Amino acid sequence: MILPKVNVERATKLITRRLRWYIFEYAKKRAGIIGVSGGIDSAVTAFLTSRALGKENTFCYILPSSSTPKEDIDDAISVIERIGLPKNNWEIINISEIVNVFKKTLGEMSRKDLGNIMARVRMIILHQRASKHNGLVVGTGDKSELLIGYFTKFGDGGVDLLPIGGLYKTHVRQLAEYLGVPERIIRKPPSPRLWPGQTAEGEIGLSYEVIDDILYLRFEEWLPEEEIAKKLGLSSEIVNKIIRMVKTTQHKRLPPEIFHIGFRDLGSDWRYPRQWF
Amino acid sequence: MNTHKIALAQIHSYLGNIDLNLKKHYLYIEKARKEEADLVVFPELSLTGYLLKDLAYELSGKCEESIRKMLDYSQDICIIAGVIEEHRIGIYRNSMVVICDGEVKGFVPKLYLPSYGLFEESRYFQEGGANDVKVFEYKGLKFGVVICEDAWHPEPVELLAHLGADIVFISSSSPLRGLYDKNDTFIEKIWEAINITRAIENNVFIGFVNRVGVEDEEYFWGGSMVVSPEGRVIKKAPKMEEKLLIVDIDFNSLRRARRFSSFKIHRRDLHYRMGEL
Repeated sequence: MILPKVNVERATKLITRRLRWYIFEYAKKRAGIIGVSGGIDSAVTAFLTSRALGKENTFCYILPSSSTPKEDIDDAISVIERIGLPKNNWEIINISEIVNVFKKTLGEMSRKDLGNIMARVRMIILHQRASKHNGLVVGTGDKSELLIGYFTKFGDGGVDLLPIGGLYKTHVRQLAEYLGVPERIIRKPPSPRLWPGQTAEGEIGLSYEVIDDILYLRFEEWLPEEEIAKKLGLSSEIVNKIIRMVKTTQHKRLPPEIFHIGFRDLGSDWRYPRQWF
Repeated sequence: MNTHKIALAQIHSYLGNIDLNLKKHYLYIEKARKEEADLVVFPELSLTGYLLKDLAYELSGKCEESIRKMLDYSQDICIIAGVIEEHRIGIYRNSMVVICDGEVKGFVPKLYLPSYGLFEESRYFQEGGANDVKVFEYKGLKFGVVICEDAWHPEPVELLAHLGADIVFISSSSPLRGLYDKNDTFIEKIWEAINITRAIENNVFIGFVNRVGVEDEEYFWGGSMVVSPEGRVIKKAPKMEEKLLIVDIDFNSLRRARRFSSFKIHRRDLHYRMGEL
């Protein structure tokens, strides 16, 4: 791979310090709330959050639907056990019944629409739990997913902060090994599990190693697409497909567009820091 | 006197929260006083925070107020702090203020305003001119100050050295990027190289004092250091945490270095030619 390895020790130190600062000092909250799926991103996020805030301030929720395989639930539990969360700090909430009400009320829908509903139902549950425990919803999206827009807007994208959003999927795997995430989770193919048999790499058509190299070369090394294709031995169509995914999903990474009317409006005029004390 | 004690205050400033930052300045000034330091130097924009965006326009009044308060803290010690200075009505500069024994000795504005990547300083600030470069003297120590990007160019430190400075402070806000591979990041290596180079080429001590901690998406890495005129890193602060670095400056080392260098040669013809470009 061309993408350099992440410095796991320092990345861990940086992310845990920032989590502590953001939740305790900036937001003045006491807890981090995480939806744990049995996948690698949420496992790493849960490990980091508990390191940063302490077990007692980390709350994990396993939110299976009818398309969640049992092994995912087992893997999610193994994450929680490995972290050693107190028993009042985690729960399994099955979302099938809630999703069924949507299905019944809204009628026939595509598997993608149904998948997005599942992601958004999970978002609603996590925010309620965040409010209950005076916490923030800690997002689990990584840089690869965020850049290609491989997430549900207002679903798994509906979070308060994205601590591993600066790490490519390949980096998340490196961090997972360093943090002691169960081996089975590191090895299994990433999947949003929005329908049976769905895998991220199957759906996109490329492995994350290749996707990460393309993203790194285009956006960190500023190389043009043709050179990336040559360097990685890929067709320019494949490189272009990934870059197009980044461009067409820009709206998912930004706040909704606001049409400007006054002298100073929200958006490009509104250059205030997030930390506005 | 052959030795001087200086203090570099590697602090985390709160973005836009001048009251809180002033308290922290007071704390570090008092610590430096206890250590019997002659000077205490803070990072760039230490009173205001760095990534202010449009808040930069609204903080100079509060900075003036804080400078007045700092006059009281400066008995028997020289304070160098980062402020926003309203140079003319509505024209702001990113400056260091020099306060000694209850008196403002002057402001030193930044000369090179970075406006690339995450930096957008020239949007908010006006750069200083060559006449703003000056040498101060306190308790027999002749010093100058430059701000961050100014050290990435040879002339500001060179000018200070030729104007008589024996130590040049580089007050910085350098954020951490590229946490790849092992060891130090690229930016940390570059800063060390710059500090050593500026020290050797000008035969001066370099006191590099960098911010530490979170500001919005950025994380300042600290790693403040003092380099001898012979190019040795005498003392280094830890990375990613606050620290008051106390260092003894020994003029014997300066003598040694100047006896063994071409520093006293000043090739005006080269500078004239540069000026004509």
